[in-house]
Amino acid sequence: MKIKDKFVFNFTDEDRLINEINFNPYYQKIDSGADLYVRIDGKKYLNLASNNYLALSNDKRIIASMKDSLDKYGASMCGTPIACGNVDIYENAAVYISKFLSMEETIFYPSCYQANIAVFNTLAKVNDVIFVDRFAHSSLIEGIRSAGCKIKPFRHNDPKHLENLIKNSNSYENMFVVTESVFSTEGSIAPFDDIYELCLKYDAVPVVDDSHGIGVIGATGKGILEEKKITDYEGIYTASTGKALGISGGIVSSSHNTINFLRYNSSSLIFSTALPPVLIAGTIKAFEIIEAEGEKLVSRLSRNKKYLYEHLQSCGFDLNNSEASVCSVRTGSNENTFKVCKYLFEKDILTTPFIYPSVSKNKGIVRMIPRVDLDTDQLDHVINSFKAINIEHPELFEK
Amino acid sequence: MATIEKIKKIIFDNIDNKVNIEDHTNLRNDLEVDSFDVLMIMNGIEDEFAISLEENDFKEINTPLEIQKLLKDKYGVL
Repeated sequence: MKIKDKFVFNFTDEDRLINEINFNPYYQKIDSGADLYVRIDGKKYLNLASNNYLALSNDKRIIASMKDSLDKYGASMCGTPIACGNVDIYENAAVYISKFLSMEETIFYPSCYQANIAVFNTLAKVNDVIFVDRFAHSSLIEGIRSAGCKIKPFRHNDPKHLENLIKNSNSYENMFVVTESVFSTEGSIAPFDDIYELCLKYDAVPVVDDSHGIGVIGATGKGILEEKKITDYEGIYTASTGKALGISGGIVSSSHNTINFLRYNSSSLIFSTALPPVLIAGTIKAFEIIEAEGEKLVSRLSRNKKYLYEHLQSCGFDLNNSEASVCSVRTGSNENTFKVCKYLFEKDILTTPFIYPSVSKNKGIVRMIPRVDLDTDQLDHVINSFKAINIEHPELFEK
Repeated sequence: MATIEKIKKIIFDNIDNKVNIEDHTNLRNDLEVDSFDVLMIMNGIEDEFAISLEENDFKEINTPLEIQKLLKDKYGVL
């Protein structure tokens, strides 16, 4: 076989569907930013697909700060943080974010995916055990698997099951308990206060990925620790800066000792080019905005989510039970899920389909992020579009 | 409770797809379990029978009866 023919993407169910319904929801070629409306092929679409919850990716204050940073530092440090990439702005940002989160120290990774892999790859050892929520994000799972230790998944958001598992696991050196704060396909929030209590009781290291929580939950947008009123958190905290914060990158916050251990031992940090300073500048500004306006932003975000969620529910649509700012309409099969996305697209609305294996078989959903800058007219357009699709194609929705 | 019934209960308790589980129910084809389901089932079996399974034990195993056979042949669970 020729080398160029070794990795041909075989026809899968998705391919067949895409051809059959003549619509590909993946890799849409967008020729604008992640604004409220995105442009695709010269047409405007209401953007409910992006994780730009707070509309910060186009915030003028952030862009100005990033432009200043570009002028000062250029495009990249062209070096790893340990060599020549550790500019002053990183240290300032780390101090600022640590204070924001009430944690001792913080470091930056090129993405939260890399951060999650680094945490387990670096800190967990073969003789350890990791308890992980059954629905945890792929990056956490990949990181956990890379550690080569015992993995014990616990039922989704079920601290009782977790405790049973912990009680039966006394032959391991270290125990880690891993969860996301907000599970982004459905919008459920982890009972992290209970999980954290178990960690303290059984001397396990808690690891929470707050990627969909930071800026979104907690009274002032400070994320899961604020939401669950956890103070003096002693575990490991990771988050993406590419969602509500509107930039790109990943952070790990923890104790001084843990962060210092990662700083000198995690290969995905040591051998990756440092995040460009321009991204750090944008991240600091985003944190400053949340610090100053978080309460107002979170309240508007919750209002939009509540409006969309309750109206769709009252129209008879079946939605995942979401506590965070995510609305996921249940569509069941892969085919139904793709078709609903297509019909919404024809009504100028961009959404995200989740099909197997991202969700269980025949548990497909169409996910929408009811971002902060949506107004009532736009939300009504979404609700009316669902209603119209349901009138024409009632078979596409779970009832 | 007989070993096979204990195995079926562990499977039932650890999957979302709440269907009736028979001796010959195929975990992958009938229940569509994923790798995390398998891990949860393996952990449940380890706790129930106080044994330590090897990662590869479940590679070729598909039904409660096959699990019972594995437990008997390799781990002496009667």
